[in-house]
Formats: sequence, C-alpha cells, structure tokens
Amino acid sequence: MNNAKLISGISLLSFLIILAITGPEISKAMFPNENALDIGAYPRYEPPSIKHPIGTDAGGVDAFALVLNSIWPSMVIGLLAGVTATFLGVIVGFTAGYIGKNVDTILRTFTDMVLVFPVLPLFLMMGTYITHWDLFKMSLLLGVFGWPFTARVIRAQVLSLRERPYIDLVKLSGENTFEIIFFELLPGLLPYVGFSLAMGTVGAMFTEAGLQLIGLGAQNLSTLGAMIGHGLSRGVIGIGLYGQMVVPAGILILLFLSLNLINMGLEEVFNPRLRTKIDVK
Amino acid sequence: MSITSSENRKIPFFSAPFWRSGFLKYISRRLGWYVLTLLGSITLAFIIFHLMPGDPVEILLGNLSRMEGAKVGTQLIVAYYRQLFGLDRPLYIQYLLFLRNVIFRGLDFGPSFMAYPNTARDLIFHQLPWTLGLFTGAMLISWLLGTIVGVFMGWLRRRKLTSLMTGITVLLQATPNYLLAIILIIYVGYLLKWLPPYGPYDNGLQPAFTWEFIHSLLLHMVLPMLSLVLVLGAGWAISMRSLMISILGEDYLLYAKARGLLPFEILKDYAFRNAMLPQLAALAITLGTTLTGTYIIEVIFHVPGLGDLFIRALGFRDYNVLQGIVLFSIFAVLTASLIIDLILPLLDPRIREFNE
Amino acid sequence: MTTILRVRDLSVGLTGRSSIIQVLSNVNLEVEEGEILGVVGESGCGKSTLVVAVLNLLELPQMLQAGEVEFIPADGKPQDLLKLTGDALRQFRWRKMAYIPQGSMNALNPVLRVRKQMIETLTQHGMAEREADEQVQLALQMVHLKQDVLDLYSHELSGGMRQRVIIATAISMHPVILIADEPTTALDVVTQRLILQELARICRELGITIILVSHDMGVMAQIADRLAVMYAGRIVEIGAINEVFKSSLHPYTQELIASIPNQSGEHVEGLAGEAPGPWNYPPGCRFHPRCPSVMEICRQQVPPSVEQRPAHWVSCHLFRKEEGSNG
Repeated sequence: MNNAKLISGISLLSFLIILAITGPEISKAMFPNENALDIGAYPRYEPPSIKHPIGTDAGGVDAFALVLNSIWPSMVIGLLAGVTATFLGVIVGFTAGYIGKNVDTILRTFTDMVLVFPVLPLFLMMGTYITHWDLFKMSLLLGVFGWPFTARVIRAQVLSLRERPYIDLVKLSGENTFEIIFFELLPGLLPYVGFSLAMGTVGAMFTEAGLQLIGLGAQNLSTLGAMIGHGLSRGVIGIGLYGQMVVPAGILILLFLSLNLINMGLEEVFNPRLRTKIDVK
Repeated sequence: MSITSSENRKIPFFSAPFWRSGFLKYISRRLGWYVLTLLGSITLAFIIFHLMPGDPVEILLGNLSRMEGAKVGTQLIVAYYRQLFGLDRPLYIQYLLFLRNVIFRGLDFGPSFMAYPNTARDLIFHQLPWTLGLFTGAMLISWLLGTIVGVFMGWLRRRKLTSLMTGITVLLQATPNYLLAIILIIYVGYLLKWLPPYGPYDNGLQPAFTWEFIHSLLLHMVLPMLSLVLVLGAGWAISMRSLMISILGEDYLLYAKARGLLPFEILKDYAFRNAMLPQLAALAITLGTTLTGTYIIEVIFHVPGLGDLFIRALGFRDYNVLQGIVLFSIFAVLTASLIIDLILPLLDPRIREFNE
Repeated sequence: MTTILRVRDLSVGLTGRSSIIQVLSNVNLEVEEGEILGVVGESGCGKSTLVVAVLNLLELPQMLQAGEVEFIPADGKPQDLLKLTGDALRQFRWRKMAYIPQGSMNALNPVLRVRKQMIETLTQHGMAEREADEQVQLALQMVHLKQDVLDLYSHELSGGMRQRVIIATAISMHPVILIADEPTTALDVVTQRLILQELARICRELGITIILVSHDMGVMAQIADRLAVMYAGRIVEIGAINEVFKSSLHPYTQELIASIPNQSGEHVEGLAGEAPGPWNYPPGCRFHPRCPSVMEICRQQVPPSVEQRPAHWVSCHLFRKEEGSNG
C-alpha cells in the first residue's frame, strides 16, 4: 500500500475530516463568549480583518466560522448519499448478476430507465414537495438517484467473477450459496464497492452544492454549497469579499480531489498493470 | 489468383452475409429496448408528476387571478383542460390521453400556465436549440478532445510532460463544472474582460444570420462551453489514459512490437482502436449527467435553454412545461445512446456475433 | 556448425521500491545455425523473461542489468542486439529474428482481420503489397491453412488455427532465427504433436534456427537437437538432447527426467519442495535446498559452468574443473 496517490488522497481526506469535526470547536475558540453564527452578530459585509479572516456575510455572520461549521454537514450529506446509492446499487447489481436470466433482464432494463432519467429536473420537482429539509432527507434523495451507476458496475463484476473456474470448484467442495456469496464473491467486489462509494459521495456533494448554487437547494441547511450559492446570488465578489466564495469552494475542491486520488490509487492497487514498480519490502 | 481481389475483401455492407450475421438481430433488439425504455421513462415521469401535491387547475386559477384578463381566460382554460386531459377521470385514462397527446397530437403538452396563451410546446421549442447546441457540442467536443489527450497521456506515460498533464486533469476532473464556470466568469469575464460573462449574445441584437450576430453568439458561448468541456474532457482523458495503459499490457501489443511494426501504426491500430471501444460505451452511460450539467451551466450563464426554462417553470408550477422538458431530456439521452449502441458493432467485430 | 547467436552473461532484474530482484543471472547460451535448441524449465524459472530479454522487449519493471546478445550473420559483422535502437531495431525484428509468443491465444489484435495483420507485418518492413500478398499465401500453405482464414477475425479461429496463423506469420519473412515460447501450451496433446512436427519440418525446409522454450520435457524430446536446462534464473546444464536425457549430469535434470511418466507405468518420482521465485532465490547454488547430493560448498558458492563432456556443460559442484582430469 505504498501508492503515492492513495497515500496523498487518504492524508488529505483525513485532514479534511479532522477539520470538519473540529471545525465548530475551532470557531468557538476563535470567538469566545460570542456566537459568531447568530444572524446580526456582527455588522454585515465587513471586510477581512484579523478578527474576521474572510469578513462577514449578508446576515452579519462571521464567514470563517460559517465555513468551519459547514464542512461537516457537506460531508455527512455526501457520505450518507454515497452509502445509500452504493447499498442500493450493490443489491440490484448483485441480484441481477448472480441470478441472471429473466431477473437480470428486468433489473437491467429498469436500471437503464433510471439511468436515462434526468436527475436534476426530477430532483427539483421533488423539492417542491418537501418544505422542511434535513440532512437525512437530502442525503436519501441524492442517494436514490445515484444507484444505477453502481448497479451496472457491480453487475458486470459479478458476472465476470461468477464465470471464473474457482467458483465451480468451491461449489463442488460443498459450500452453500450463502457462504459462496460472502466468502468468495464479495471480496472480489470490494474494490468496486469502494470505488462506487467514493464516486457516489463525490457526486452527491456535487449535486447538493450545485442545487444550492441555483438557489433551489435546502434553504435551512448550512453546507459549503450553500455558502457558495449565497455568495453568488448576493454578489459578494463585487464587494471584494472573494474569500467568502473561494474558501468554501476551495475546501469542496479539496474534498473532491482527495476522493478522486483515493479512487485512482485504488485502481492502481487493484490493477497491477497500471503500476510501474514492483511492490517489494 | 491474388488474394486482394474483391471477392475476398471485407464483406460489403449490403450483401446478404452481413445482414444475416446477427447484426440485424442486434439492431432490432436494440430498437425494441429503445422503445421500451422510452415508454417506461415517460410513464415514470407521468406518475411522479401526478403524485405531486396541488391541483394544477387550482394553481392555475391562483396564478391567473393575479394577472390581467383573468376572468375570461379562466373559464376557457378550465373548459379546455377538462376536455383535453379529462382531469376528473381515473388516472389510467389520463395517462392514455397524455400518451395520445404526446405521441399522436404532435407533442401536445398542453397550454403553459405562466405564459398563457402560449402552449408548453411553443416555449420548449423556442428554447430547445440552445440546449441542443450546448449539449451536443459539449458531449462531442469533450469526448473527442479528452480521448485524444488521454491517448497521448497513456502512450507517453513516462515523460515528465504527461505526468504534469495527468496532475492537471485530475484536478480539473475534481472540480464541479459550476465552480469552474464561476471561476471563469470572475477571471475571464470580469477581471480580464476577455470574454462576455453571461448571456447568449449581446443585448440588443436579434437572432439572424448576420456576421455581427454570429460573432457575438460565438464569443458568448465560449465560457459556457469551456465550463462543460474542460471538466468532462478531463474525465475522458483520465479514463482513456487508464484504458491505454491496460491495453499496453495486452499480449497482442507485445506481439505487435516484436513483429517490428511502426510505432505509430501500433498506436493507431492496436492500442487506440481497442481502447476506444469501452470509452465509447462509457459515453452512452454518462449522457444523463452531461445533460444535467448542461442545464446547470445554462442557468449560471443565463443562456435561454431548457434548464433556464425549467427553473422559471418551477417557480410557476407550470406542470406542462416541466413535464415536457423532462420528456425531451429522456428522449435526447435515449436517442444519443441508441446511436452510440448502433455504431459500436461497426467498430468491434466481436459484438457482431454475439446474441446476448 | 557455426554459431549464429551468442547470449553472454545476461542478467535481468525487477526494480522494486528500494531494491532490485534478480530474475536471470549470468545466462550464457550459444545457438548453432540450423539447430533446434530447447530451453526447458519449470514455470517461473525465468524462461519467458529470457525470451523477452533476447528480443530486446524488456519493459519496466523488468530491467537489463548486464550482458550481450550477439547476432552473428553469415555475411557481416556480429552485432549486439541489446544495443540496437529505433528503426534499426525495428527493421531487424522479424526480418532476422521472429517470435512465437506464449499467449498465442491473445496474440492477434481482436479488431483487425488476419489478412491485415499478416500483410502489414511484411509491408511495414518495406515489402511491396503485391509481394507481401504472395508471401502470406505461401506461408499459409506451408502451415496447411486455407486462404479463407485471411478474412476472419481472431475470435473466429480455433486454438489450433490461431497457432498456425502465428507460425505462418513468423516464417513469412524467412527469418534467420525463430524463438518459440511455449508454442503448444493451450493445445490438446494430439494437436500439440502435429504443430510441433510441422514447425520442425518447416524450419528445416526453410533453414530457420529455432530456440524452443517450454516446461514440457516431452515436447523437447520430440524435436529438439540440443537442450538447455534452466532453474531459478540460471542455466544448469546444456548439451545434445540424447546425452542430456540418457546421461544427465545435473541432479535437477535427473529429477526432471525421472518425473516423466513413461509407458511401462513405472512409479513416477516427483521432486520435493517448490522452485523458488526471484524474491527468494537461495544463496550459492540455487538448487541446493532440494538437491539430494547437496554439499556444504553448494550453500555458499555458485557453481561455475564446466564442460564435463565434449559440448556438454553443467553447472554443479559435483563436477569440478580440475586440471588434467575429465570424464
């Protein structure tokens, strides 16, 4: 596990996770005895200073404290959505690949139908139902739209694993279906599950931030995307408060980058041909 | 007898052996899938739309009463609706009527609420060209450019330059397209003032085939296109690079080198032609996300396409327009996917034989 | 007999993160014109690496550490093949030295027809299209394949047919040397025998020298003239085939031969233990952990190669180069 990409990806991600978790504490430490997140806590649109590293926003909230408190919600949404999408995708993909024949055809057609469906418009429409958002609802909804990709990948992998000779051997040796699934097939799927999880998480964060940007996201959730969206709509750039968009955007990009690096690293680990050096002690 | 005589050449396209070879079966199966998926998605859309809260007619009345000329319009619309859509009839009848209107009455989605008396179809058709242009352009350019860049990134893997490019593309791929759009708008649009930061063309110009208009159009479209193409293209480049690298480890590549073939020929006929196949198949899968991305970019850049229309219609709860846009999106994605699936067997002889 | 290829002190390693793993060490081989030289050894002993190294096709993480491969044409100066680069190397390939790869099942490009692949091998070396046509036809005739094969794709051919196409391609330029790496592994026994016999026949007719690499002693027994035995990256014995079979010198060779099932149904002996991989080659003589005649010196020193009998070399401490005493 000495892959450069994997290591840098994991380190970056770990750093960001720590930042996310400790963010609220850091912001409290920066502003002792004050609640920097209260609307009107400070004058609006203050320029950057030592006290307010990137100024205050339209509601008089300290932007830096806001950023620190927004990382965790963004991550949680991404992760929950990713897990939902991967979970659903694995179930559908595995069933289709393992059972095959008619079940496979039906599931595959269904998957394709959802895949083809334009996610965003549908999502926006669902948004009109739901007046009060919370983290869970947002994540679940995002996850529900992400599963087709995973399903396809898992199905393809299950199909190819199923045909390998060692499965026949194992069947002959008397393991029952349950054992076959868990001990022989699933380990081969793990890299793909991991990949799907990473991709699903990234995709969900993308979409959530994008929705916030257009102004149609969950209004009462504080996420990095929300900050960017508000910054855009309230024209903070014009006032010179670049930081309020650059910092949250930068963190988002770093998050995506770390997950992508992990993905690429995983790909190199599991596909030996991509390597240029032999793994030697 | 020379073996290059025409009898032994490739089996020509219109000859019997070609058509009997299973290709025809593949086409018909593929077309069947296309129709099935189309119907299925439309049905799905219909169901979702009708599950939404709020009676469209009530909302319509509510909207109209805020506008001028409401009294006369109200009666007409309500009557029109009842007749056309049978809103008080059971759901499955509404569904059938809906299908009838869409398929047989030339995509009649009904009147638009927010822009009455224009029909939903009028609005959609008016804004469709922008989306089509952006979508097709982004899809094709990003795939072609990205694939070619990826070929070289994979083939010349060990040079420093390609390592640098790999780093850049990884970063680009990780950036959501709207973020890139914002960055471009800020830097190129406002700070450097090289290109117009929003709008499809300069204010005050009318669409026409004049150079002035076309010039303005092209300038305005650069940033939106860039936002889409750079991010998508980076993704394609990385994927092609991985494909090339794994193909480079294949037996036939080694054999081609051992035979002393020209390096460029090996790149072209052995590496690229094989790596391109899964890359093309992947294009079909990503069409949905590409379209969604196009919509977002339209909104950011104020390009009057379907994405922009959708947002406006959403605010007005103009269901007919919303439905129409969703249907068009499905149709566009499915059709492009079909085209790709029909091209694939022409490029990969292994597919031609298999009846999966 | 004239030597046409001389491998001298060839060493190849694999680059690791901080160290290099030795795969081939000081391999020496001489190939006589017109002969069929067999190189036999277990899976993992480095035979394929040897082939790839001689062909100058090593790729990272494989790395050439030392050695030369001298090609000695009848007319002209000897050249070190490992020093050839660029177009000179490309032109040399196939014209003078052809190759039958180990994975012949996957050696053909799946998206190109056989015709294109066979003809372009010739035309990209400067042959005119018309002449290339003829040569390809002739080559297919020599392997008893119908011209129809040319219009097919790789996946439409059976294993045997693919193998014959590969052989036809290999001989189509009338090379001087042909290196065949496990040419019959994926085939059934009957086809194996046929293909081998044809290969030998064709090459004798065209005067091509063959280096035949395989793990199968039976294959060697059928057509090889001389045999080199490889173990853990080194050549341990080399000599005329009858001598090596009937009076083998190296303990490993003896075990190999003893493990061939023969028709009288005698008890077949196997060898205890496993051949080491490159990452755990033992010091000294690499065979010493499994050798029934192991001595103290075997654990410490690599045995030098000794011409124990005329043209029969062995690398084993049982046979010492002593002044004035031989045989």
